[in-house]
Amino acid sequence: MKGENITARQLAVTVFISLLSPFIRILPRSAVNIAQNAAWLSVIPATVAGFIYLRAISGRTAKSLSSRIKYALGNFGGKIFLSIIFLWLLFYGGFVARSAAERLVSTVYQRGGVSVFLWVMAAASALAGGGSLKGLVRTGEVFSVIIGVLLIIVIFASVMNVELENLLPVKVEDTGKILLGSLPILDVIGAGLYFLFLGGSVRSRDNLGKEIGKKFLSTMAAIFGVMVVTVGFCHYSLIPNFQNGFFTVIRNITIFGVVERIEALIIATWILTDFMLLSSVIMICRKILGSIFRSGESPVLAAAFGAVTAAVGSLFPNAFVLESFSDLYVPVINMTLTYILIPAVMVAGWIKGQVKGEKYE
Amino acid sequence: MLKKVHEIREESLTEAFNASADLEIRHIRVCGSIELLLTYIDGLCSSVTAAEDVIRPLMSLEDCIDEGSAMERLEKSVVYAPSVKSCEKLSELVGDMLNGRIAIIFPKLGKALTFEVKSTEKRAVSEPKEEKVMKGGRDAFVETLRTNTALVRKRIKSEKLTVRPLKVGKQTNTDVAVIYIDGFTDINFVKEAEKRIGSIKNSDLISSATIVENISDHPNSPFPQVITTERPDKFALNLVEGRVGILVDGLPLGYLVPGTFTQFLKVPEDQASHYAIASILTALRYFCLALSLLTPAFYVAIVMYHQEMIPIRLMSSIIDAKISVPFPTAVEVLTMLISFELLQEAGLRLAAPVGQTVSIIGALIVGQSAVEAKVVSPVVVVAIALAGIAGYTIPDQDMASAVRIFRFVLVLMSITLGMFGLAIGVALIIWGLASMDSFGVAYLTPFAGSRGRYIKRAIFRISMRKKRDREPELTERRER
Amino acid sequence: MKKLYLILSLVLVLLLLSGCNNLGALSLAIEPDEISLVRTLGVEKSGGEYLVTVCTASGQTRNPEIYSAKGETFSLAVNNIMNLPQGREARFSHTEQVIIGEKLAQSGIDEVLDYIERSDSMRLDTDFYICRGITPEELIKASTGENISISDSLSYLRENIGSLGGGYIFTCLDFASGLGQNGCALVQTIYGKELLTEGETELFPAPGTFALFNGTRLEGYLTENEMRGAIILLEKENTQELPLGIAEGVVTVKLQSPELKLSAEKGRLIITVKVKGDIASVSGVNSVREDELRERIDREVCSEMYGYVKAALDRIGSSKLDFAGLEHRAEIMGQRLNGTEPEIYVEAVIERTYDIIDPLPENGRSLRP
Repeated sequence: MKGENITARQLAVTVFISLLSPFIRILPRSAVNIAQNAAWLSVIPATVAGFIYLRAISGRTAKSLSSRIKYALGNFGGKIFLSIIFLWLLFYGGFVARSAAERLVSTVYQRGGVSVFLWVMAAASALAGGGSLKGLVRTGEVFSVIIGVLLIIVIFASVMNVELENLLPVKVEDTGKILLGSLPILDVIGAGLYFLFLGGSVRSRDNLGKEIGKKFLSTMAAIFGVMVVTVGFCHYSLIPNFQNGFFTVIRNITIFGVVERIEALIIATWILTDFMLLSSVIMICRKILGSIFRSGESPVLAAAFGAVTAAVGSLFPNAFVLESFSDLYVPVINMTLTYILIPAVMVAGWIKGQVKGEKYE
Repeated sequence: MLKKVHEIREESLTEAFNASADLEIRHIRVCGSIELLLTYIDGLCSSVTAAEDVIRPLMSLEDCIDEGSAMERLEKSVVYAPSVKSCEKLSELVGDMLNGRIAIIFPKLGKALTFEVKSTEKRAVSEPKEEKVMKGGRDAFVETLRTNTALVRKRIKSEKLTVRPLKVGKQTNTDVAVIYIDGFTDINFVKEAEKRIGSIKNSDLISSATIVENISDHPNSPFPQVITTERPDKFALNLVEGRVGILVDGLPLGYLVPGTFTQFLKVPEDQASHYAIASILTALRYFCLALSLLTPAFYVAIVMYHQEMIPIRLMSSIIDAKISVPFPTAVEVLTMLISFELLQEAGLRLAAPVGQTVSIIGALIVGQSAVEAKVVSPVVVVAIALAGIAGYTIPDQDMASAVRIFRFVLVLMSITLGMFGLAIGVALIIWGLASMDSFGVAYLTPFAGSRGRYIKRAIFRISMRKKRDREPELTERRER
Repeated sequence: MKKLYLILSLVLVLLLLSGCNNLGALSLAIEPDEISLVRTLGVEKSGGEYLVTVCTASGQTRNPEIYSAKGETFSLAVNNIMNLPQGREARFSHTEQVIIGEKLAQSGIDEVLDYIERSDSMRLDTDFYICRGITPEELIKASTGENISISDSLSYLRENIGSLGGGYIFTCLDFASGLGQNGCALVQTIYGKELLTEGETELFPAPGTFALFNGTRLEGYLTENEMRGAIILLEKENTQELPLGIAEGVVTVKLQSPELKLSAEKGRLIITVKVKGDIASVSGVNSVREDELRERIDREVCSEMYGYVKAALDRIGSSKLDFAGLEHRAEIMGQRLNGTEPEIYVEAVIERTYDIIDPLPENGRSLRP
């Protein structure tokens, strides 16, 4: 895997195609729970804050996050911190796999057991996560075309069902709610930080921050579309009742009376984003382990990571426990890591660089 | 090759050819006392040309005092043959003779001269058999390397067109030509192609698979990575786009690298039709590829798992059709898929008129009778036939075959897991393709591993007025 | 490549070790001839239990079938109906109509609504009806025969609601969204209408007025005028034929869906209704001049429309149930209504493009433009 040059654009595409998976898991429900009918506007502050955050953290030139952490905290301290992130990512991977399986069972495979979906998902992702990084990011590129086209079609088809009365009124007093509603969105955006562990493979001449910024904006435009069509579809009070707001909207799309209920197709296509996320998490775990132990990047480890994620996924006893994790524990840990700890370490590294007169990017 | 005996003598030559029956050796005396040996491989040389251009002038040779002066005269003048070569080693002599040259051996000097008197027995250039031509050149490659290089040169009249000779095969010594446009084609492709051809260890007869499997980056993948064509116009077009061509003596086919996914969905007719029409047809081919790959699996998934996707009237028809069929949908679809493949294979291997009969009978039996006998439901026949017919629009046979294989795989995944299985299957296929490279170019370029703006070039043919010289994916700074 | 095989085999081994060796999804597959598609779902309370009645279709060649099941809760009742005779399974994914019984509506339909919202198979744009004067089970059974099912009749009703006496068919989504927004919502009612066909009396579902729900409980029914007013206020698609009694004759006008414009000023709502239409037929109007007739038609249409809107507004006022979402809409306009009676303006533009001479007026003057 050494010397595998990928472009900043490819990494950026992979980041956001993967993040579409958690976006659809939490949106619009989490945002609607806080910002009610104004939840669709929560995308805007989240976009602004996320853009600043991602541009600042991804830096001008690409460099692996592992090496930055090790520089900031010293070799031993860095390895300890990396190990914590590694363990968290394995858990997160399990959570992602279980969420994907749960979504399938709750939407199109009525009365099905989650385990088969969980394991097949983990196995497929382990295969891709154990392969080459360039293969994975190129897969992300192809998926982005497929999902992009699909999203545009679905959003346009759903615009007919949008009632302005469901989106409005939005008053000045709602500003607080709107800002709070952007927190779950920011939680997902923060997860984009983990992909910087792959930053070491990006061609040195590429401007990673710029590419991530560009792709981030187009992703958020799509998310805005998703929020508008979902919140505008019905009164906001109904959204928490749905298994998944966006897919419920899709369920009611009929195209010229020929195609109905395309949600099975869309949900199946959405598997591609879960596949990308889980494969990326496994790949990131390999990279992190590689920087903890020198020879830890072996592809064979991907199988073990896949098995661990599936096993972690099986630990959630039911959908309710999973939901509580989705609503509380996962965002809290994710945000602590991505918005507090890792940035703090990077700031420490920057200060250390200034003191020592070395360049730290 | 010939390690023990290196000297050019009659005995060593006979030994080298193991006293082969087609080795002809004739003792000739010229200028009264000089004994020479005339030797050639019967059948490889044209006896008329040999007699006229070599033997007649040889016999009229005069005023030579020894072998040395005779050799000099023969080399510099006298003989009419266009090409002459002096050999000092037996291996060189053998090589030349195998290439259809006639040799005059000077026994005392231990040297020989070889003259080009190649047999002109070759197949005439005819119309391509496999690749249909509607608007475009009607010539096709033949089995003779030189004729083929000439066919290419006729289209690219440039001194930059370079033909590099190579010999391949331990036993067969097959001539291979690597063709490219100097200063235009990425030289790395040329070097890589030469390296890979040079490393062919196979001692068997050089077949198409020997070349393709040895120069492909991923020989285990069923997806083609080398463009194969029997049409010189397609070959020349790809050279002009920046690819490297390979021609093999004895094979009426041209090979082109790097072969990327999109190339296997293009046909030379695209260049002959109006760009709007060509674009629509190319887009249609992509659609058909998806249709061919996914239709049976999609049918299985929605009928067995996701019935809610089918509008109620259509669902009612499917239920009606299914009621009288005793087999499960999975069995129906698999049986039909296998029957379809059987028919296709049977039709292909038989002579054209018989093949057609088989196709017609097959269509009647499998299609109509099976439905009438209530062995399969009509919708299944429609789905499988649709996939099959859509598959025929894929211009490249190897690509079509790969699609056929993965069609089965996806059906099996759909049977086990429905739409989820289909999605995972598609994801893994895409991942597999994305991980592939062809001569350092991403196989899925321009969909992946290249800048996104070239995607439209893959699907739409741009107007010839706006067309740039080379395929940008092949020449611009390559992405991974 | 070898490594990949190793990965795959490792994962497979782990998969088998973990005991996940049953292909759970395979058991979810079902053959199309093993399912019956529920087209109409009727629910009523019976003896403290939910009584679910479904009208199913299993192909075009089979007759529609009706099944009923009971359960303590709605979802239990639905589960009880899942497994049909002959090993078939009921699928709710193609449900076109949900009919709620009056008794259940009065006691509250929270459970049914919640089930539909959370359901992974039913669509939210399923038509929603309240069955009046007859239980859904009786209506479904009585109006389903060999060739026709209640589902077909209700589909026909949806297509032709304008000519069958007006009304509007709300979907489950309309209803649930309305409840969320205004705390109350409207539902189209149906009742069993006896019709003599081929010498036999058959029962068909016919449209009644709207049922008004306060929360999830049935509060009462709207009158016909209130219903028409509600449709105008809700800006629902509604074409109707309106017979007008003018000078001892009858002029029928065919009205398009009225255009509604809402504005608010100082907390007072201003409602402007613009209605367009054509004269469909004129009979027995002899003694009126053409221009006068035109004027009277316009006036009559305006007055009818005004009456409808007023009736609806009065009902909103008296019941304190803002089923038209007027307050919400005023809020969108940045106004808070202060309870002052709204101002209503109606404008009618009736075209005279048809041959409307039936019979020809006595004075021989044609009304042809």
